Amino acid sequence: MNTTPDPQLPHDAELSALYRKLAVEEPATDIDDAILAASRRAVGSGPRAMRWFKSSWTAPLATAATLMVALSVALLVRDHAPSRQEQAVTLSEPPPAPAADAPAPAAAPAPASEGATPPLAEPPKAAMPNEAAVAEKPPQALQKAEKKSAPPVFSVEDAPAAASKAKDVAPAPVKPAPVMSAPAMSAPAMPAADAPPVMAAPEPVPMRDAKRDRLQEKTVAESVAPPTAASRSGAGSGADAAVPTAKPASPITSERNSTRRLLGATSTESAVDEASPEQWANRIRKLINHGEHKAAREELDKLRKRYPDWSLPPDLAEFSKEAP
Amino acid sequence: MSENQTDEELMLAYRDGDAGAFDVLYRRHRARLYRFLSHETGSPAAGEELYQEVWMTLIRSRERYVVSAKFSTYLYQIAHSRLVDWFRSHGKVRLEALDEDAPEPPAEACWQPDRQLDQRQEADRLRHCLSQLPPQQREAFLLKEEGEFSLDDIAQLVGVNAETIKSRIRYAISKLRNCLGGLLA
Repeated sequence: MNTTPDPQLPHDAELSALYRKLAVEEPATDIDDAILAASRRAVGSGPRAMRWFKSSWTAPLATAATLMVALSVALLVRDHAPSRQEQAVTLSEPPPAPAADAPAPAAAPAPASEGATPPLAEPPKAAMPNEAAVAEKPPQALQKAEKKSAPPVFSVEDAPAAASKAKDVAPAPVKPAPVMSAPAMSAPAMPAADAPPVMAAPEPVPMRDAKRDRLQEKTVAESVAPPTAASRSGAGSGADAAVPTAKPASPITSERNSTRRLLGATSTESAVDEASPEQWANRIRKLINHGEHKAAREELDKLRKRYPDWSLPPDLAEFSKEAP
Repeated sequence: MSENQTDEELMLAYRDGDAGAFDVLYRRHRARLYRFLSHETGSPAAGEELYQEVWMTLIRSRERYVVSAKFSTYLYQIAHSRLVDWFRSHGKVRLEALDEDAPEPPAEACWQPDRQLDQRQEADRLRHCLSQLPPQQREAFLLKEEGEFSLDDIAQLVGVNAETIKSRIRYAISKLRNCLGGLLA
């Protein structure tokens, strides 16, 4: 402000001095306080408003981000849910009955990571009901099963044949195979002509967690060959009746037929040599059931020579006592 | 906040959120503005009321403040607007006759030279004489004395030409001298 008055303005120095001497009023202190407080509130409201604004948009942002993450997780879970439901449905099917006359580990395909030895000794009795089950399966389910679990099926039922073709097949299932690549498993073990469709069927299994893959393999294997009580009671004859009804186009069925023929007619030395007495005995039983008593006796003789200390099961002992 | 900053810088700082700037600004203008309003209304109570309104208006409109003139002009423009409203609301007519035609204060209302008055009484006398001025003359005189504005500033603030302001001030001085009488040498 100007300390000296504008020379253009009319001025009376004496009057101005008197005015300045007498006019000394000032606002009351409470008025000052009120105005200053109001000014601070007004200024404070700005930053407060800014803080509120920041907090008001950061909080929703954080909430939105959290919701997005949660939604993503939920969608992922939902994407995986159908497969789990499929597994649950499949697993809810009749569980594989314990093979009374077969070693328990052989009844279900052991995970490759666990099985040190391939399930070469699948008893024929366990295999033949499986055939019946496969024949009774709807084509879609069968194809699905083939796609998903050809290796386990093959390894369970056709392993002896595979062993007869190539002994070096055995290590294949031992591969660290949570992924259990079906081609890798089954390629060397295919029984020649019938096999290629099975080879082509499996799609590459995407690399996922081992647990889930093992579960899928188990599930599909069970869905392909759930040995029912009826089929088990039907033993060989029931299975035989079912085999012709199997669609010729089914690679698994044809493959099994060939394998069964191989097993029933001529077991190669290599396959027999590697069989345990119990497995050998099962094959002999199968020959007996097929009416090939001569071959059964020959196998029985070989079994006795190979395992002289092994005591024959009562049925085979009785069969050996019968006149040829 | 520096005391050396201009009013405009302080107001800009306050606009941007510096409460301390307002404190400095307020201290600079509080007494003068209060006296201006108090003398203009002729009532300390009314002056206080308007005084608070002016400052609150300034606080509320701080975000729109731009330096287009001196801050004091800006502040007293607010005060002038409040005064116009106040006079209107109280049924007082500020647009009086031309300054030259304004009647002289009655003789009995003027200073009696034989009375010895203390300073308080002198201040009351000054207030009385100011209240006898026509509002527009009083406003021009107070803007000169309290606001220490230049001629152009007052003309801009009041919204009239400079010659009218000069005339109003001239008449105000004359009437005050006549009223105060013996208080002046």
